[in-house]
Amino acid sequence: MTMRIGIDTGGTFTDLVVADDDRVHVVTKSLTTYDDLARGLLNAIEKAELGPAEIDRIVHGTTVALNAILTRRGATVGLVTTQGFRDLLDMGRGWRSQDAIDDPRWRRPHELRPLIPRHLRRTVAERVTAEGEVLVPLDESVLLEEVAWLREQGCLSIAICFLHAYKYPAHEQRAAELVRERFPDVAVSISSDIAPFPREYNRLSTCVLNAYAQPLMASYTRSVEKRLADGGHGAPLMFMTNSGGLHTPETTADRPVTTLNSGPVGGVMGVQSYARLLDLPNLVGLDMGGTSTDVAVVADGRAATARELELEHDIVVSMPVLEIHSIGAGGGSIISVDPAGGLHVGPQSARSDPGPACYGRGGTAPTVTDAALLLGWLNPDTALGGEIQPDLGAAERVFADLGERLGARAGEVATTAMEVAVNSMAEAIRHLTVYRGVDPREFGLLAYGAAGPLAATQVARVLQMPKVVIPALAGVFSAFGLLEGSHVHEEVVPMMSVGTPDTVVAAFETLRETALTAVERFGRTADEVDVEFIVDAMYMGQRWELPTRVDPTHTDPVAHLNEEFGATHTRQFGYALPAPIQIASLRVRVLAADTPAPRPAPLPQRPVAHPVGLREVVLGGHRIPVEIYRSTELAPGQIVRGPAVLEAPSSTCVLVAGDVARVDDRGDIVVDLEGSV
Amino acid sequence: MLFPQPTEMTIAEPVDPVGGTCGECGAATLARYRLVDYRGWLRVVKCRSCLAVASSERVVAPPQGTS
Amino acid sequence: MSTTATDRSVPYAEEVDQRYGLDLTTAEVLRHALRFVALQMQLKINTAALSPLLNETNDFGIGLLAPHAPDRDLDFDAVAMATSAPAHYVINQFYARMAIERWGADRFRPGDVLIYNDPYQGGSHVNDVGALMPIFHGDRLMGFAVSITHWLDIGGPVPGGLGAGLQRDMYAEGIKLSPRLLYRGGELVQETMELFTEQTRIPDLSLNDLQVIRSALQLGVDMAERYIERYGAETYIAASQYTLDYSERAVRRALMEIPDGVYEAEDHLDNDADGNPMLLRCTVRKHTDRIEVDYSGSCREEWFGYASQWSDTVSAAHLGVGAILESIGISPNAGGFRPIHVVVPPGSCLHALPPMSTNAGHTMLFTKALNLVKLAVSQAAESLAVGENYDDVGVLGFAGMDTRGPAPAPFVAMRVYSGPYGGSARGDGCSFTLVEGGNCVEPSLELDEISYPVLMLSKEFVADTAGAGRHRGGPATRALLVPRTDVESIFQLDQCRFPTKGVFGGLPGSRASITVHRKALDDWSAGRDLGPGEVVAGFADPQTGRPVRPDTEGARFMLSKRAGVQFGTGDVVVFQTAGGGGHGDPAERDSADVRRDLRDGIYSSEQAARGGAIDKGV
Repeated sequence: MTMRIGIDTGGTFTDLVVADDDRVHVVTKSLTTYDDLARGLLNAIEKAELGPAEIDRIVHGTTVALNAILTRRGATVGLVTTQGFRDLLDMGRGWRSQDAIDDPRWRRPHELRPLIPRHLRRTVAERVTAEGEVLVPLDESVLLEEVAWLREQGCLSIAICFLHAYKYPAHEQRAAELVRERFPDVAVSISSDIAPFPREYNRLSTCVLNAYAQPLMASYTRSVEKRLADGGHGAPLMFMTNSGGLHTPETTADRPVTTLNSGPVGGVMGVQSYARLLDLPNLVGLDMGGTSTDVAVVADGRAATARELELEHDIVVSMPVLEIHSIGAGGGSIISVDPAGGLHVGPQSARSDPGPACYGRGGTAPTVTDAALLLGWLNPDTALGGEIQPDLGAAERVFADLGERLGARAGEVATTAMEVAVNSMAEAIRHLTVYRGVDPREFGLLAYGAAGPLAATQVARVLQMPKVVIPALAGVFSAFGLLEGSHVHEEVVPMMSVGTPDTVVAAFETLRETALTAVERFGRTADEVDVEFIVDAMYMGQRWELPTRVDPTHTDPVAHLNEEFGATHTRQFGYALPAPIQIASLRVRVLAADTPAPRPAPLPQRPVAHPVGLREVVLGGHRIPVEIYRSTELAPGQIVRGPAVLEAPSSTCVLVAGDVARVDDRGDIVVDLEGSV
Repeated sequence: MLFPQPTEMTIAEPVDPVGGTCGECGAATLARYRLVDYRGWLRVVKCRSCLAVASSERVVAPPQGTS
Repeated sequence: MSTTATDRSVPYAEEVDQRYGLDLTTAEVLRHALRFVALQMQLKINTAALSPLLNETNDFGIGLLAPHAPDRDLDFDAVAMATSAPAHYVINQFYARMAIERWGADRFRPGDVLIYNDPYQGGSHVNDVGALMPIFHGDRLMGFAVSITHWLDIGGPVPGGLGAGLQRDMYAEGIKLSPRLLYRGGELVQETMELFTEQTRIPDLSLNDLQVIRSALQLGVDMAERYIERYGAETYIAASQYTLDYSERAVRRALMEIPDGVYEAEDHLDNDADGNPMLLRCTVRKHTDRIEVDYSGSCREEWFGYASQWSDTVSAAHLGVGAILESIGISPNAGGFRPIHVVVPPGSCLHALPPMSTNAGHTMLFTKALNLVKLAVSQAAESLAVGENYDDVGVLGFAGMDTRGPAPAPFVAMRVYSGPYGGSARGDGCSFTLVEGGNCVEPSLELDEISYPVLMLSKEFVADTAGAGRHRGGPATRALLVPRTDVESIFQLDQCRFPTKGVFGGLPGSRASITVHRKALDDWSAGRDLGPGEVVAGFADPQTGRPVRPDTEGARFMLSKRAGVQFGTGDVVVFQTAGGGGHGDPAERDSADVRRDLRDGIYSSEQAARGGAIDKGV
């Protein structure tokens, strides 16, 4: 029996799940070790007490690179770009952020906290046109002088980005070759390699982020590999990518930007596993964390993709990623009343330090967690996350202060705040469904993370969703999802041309050929996989691509593409056009066929659990006594009707009237929302 | 309705002083003139000191007629 | 509570219940929901539009109008607007409501879309096309989804419009629609569509984008109707009132930040059609939570596009007040504009009377009117003051035939230019973003070069252009553009004559300019120095056409807004914005900030960073 390990290094805990093809065997949680992340990772593995020989593969999700970027603790990096374009990083995409639309005092995030300050942004004579004409040849000697100067300034990582390199990469490739030859100790990231897509700013930003995170990620992958080897763990280590695929440590070290979001993506992959396991092909994932809530959609068994990942306003990674829509409303989000009486949930957060007022660590701002405690949704007698004994009095005090400003009692303000938060989460789901012509009533909601299950059925009810799923492994769900990563591989071919009969035929041919390479790189044979073909396209003149699935063996490619793209466009916008179609890129996704996702270990047969107590809980503004259950005591097949509270060691689920929860043989809880539809 | 280009080089809104004092601040600075609020055109009697409006009536926007 | 509202305190939950018949929870949930809907309508336009002005430049405004309910002081007021171009926030309050009045509110049926673009009916300029769609609950009209979208071309003599100097009066501006149906009960009205497909230079684009508008309005209508269905019509109406009152309270609260007083500012537009500077004046009167913006004393309207609509100016004044207030996050809806009165004398350049053309005046005078409010209120307190930013939406457009494909195709390549802001008490000015009236996504030059036969060879900050100050302004941006076919151009770029102003001892930034190096692409490509060039906009030597300092005797000012100017294949056109004005005495600038600016090449010398003789000219 061979085992796979999913291991997710989060802000507080390092979560680990060990499974074979059928079932999960071990789940552990250990504290993240900030001073030496690789040690924490090894600790987690050792805690699982597995013999090294049993392990087939280790899949890792980490936010090392992301944190380095967000906190600006990356490398000293130099940029070399086309003459005349030194300042793109400070220009971004021009627009102001949502909260500063008419603010003349606003400044761009990169001006305030540069990744590369202006003196380390150098230019070189070279210019290629959109048609590939070399207007100005690359000035190789100036290039080397500039890099030599940057190196003197301490830059051991260089980003190179030239105009139109997405299609004509010769200058970038030559520049990289020269720099690597002359300065072997300098890491080089070139835009045509990292993100070969048009839009100069997006590509440059992606390339710069890669260069910025590169040295740190290289040393991280080295240290993890060394630790594993020292510990006698010979199994191959893989990193989860932003798009749900896997990269080797070497690729990850070269392209850290492809794994920035690996932790959250693990969660989305877990939702995809559950879509298959529970035969619910349409699922929305809801992960409520400390500072934000992440939402993702799995439709027809497949996670949706987006064209970029925005880390801060206009600081973007531009490449296909699994789409995760994040809103600034999590457990630690601060609830405030503005001078005009408007109530806001987030985006400011009390974070983990000092944390919510009820943590009793000096937090004085009311948060969502405080509201949940005050309303009786969270148990005042149980340690939060198994760690912190909540201080109900502190939560009451901060809400009483807030209530005073509104002439309302603490509990009333907490009710309003939670309702605003629940509706914000519902809006985040609408963003990915309703507004794109997708009906959420055809979806189930899968809630995970420490706070995801808390109000999940209430969020679902706003959208008239019929079902909520609380997975047995809700508390380590991202680590669980990492196991799914071994089952996908994606190849992207940038194209950027108009869909004429010739180009469409050529595109379909490219898709078919790419599929062969992709299957081979995936290490499987054709009959072991499903292959999906996606054309990212838009009508000539539009600037936002829509992904469309096609069949590249179709006998009339032009008619087929027109029809499929027209249908996609109609679903989203209500009409199709007799206009030419611009093909931005081609994608081939290879998915392992019929691979069963591992299921949680079976629950033992045991008697139906009885409530462990009764607690006053405020629901819909009414205080009522509600039965409390311990999730770990629930029996297979047991049914619990709302209102009720289900308390697990690391998460709590509040059921409201009409909710009917059924426990399956693995401890997953499926809630039918009667009266929701 | 068409209008000739004004002959004077700068244009000011005619402000006609109105007798009496402001009901709010008591200053003798009431005046009648036209202005635009969020709904459109008004002719107001308004205090030039504390900006309290003593009276107002909706009028037609000048491009649509004389007002 | 339009003119009487003086309650500045937060309403208690009980008052919310009494005044609106709403519990606080429902009130707050619906207040947020209305804004969410508007934001999603915006995204719908972005993602499907063909026009670059809509899919990236964000030159549109979209949102919801409240129901008509006199007992709750609601009269189809703009209740939620998206965050695209702020210049379009309020204008719906006039444009849409006047169209509804003219059409007749009782004539609407579900699925109708009304379209209109007469700027003299509460609009801005003829390119801004208004559209609206009714929201119904059963037979009951519950408000509208509304939009204003800038149409890339609206017919008339100048491709792309904005024809400063070429469009004498409103009859020369393009097609102008009194309100009419674009959709009747959900069915496209073909003859209305044909006005756009037959009479503009962008038939294919219009065919798509008119349907996009409908799609976005439909989303707004569907969502509003869902909320009405869920919460009930009366609750929805009450929540609309609550939402408008909330915004009014927010603005009244913020107005208390400005010391009471009377503040005056003046500025000039570089030129009218004859080359004379145009004087603009603004007096801001402020008392407690009331404010009046008065443009009396501004110069008269001028022919050929040097005039703007009153509705546009009122919108600018509202936005200027919103911008200067330090409190951010004011929801853009009509409630927020209740405390603001605007005096805008008819016949002045800020209040055109028919038959003046306002097509070009819209952008340049809107921005001036907005900045004047900031300049006036800046005198009230150093903490509020903001150095002047580059103003006028810098525009450079080329029209010609694209001969790169199998058959020559006409094209209009229009780009709006972002630029620098002034310093403030908070810090240095932003280096690069659009004037407050807009919020463009900077179009990708790679995509533009694929779409149009125009090269952009440079887009970079220029040393020694930022107005010095304790907090300096942002540096100017210089762009180099090269048409690869013969083209006709339009351009608008102010501050080529009068530089930006600093505040509280801060210094002006450098002037803007446009120059051209004829047939210089090969020289540029070979790395040869192009020399001084020929002035297109700015001060020139009358004999040679070369740039000179403004104080040079006999210097001739070349107009900074024109249409129909020819450029040839391979001409290198240099478009440079003004530099932002400084805030505070540059002698007090932190020495670490000075060192950083020298290191980064924002200034070439400490003397320049401290406000010494730097070149403000050219």
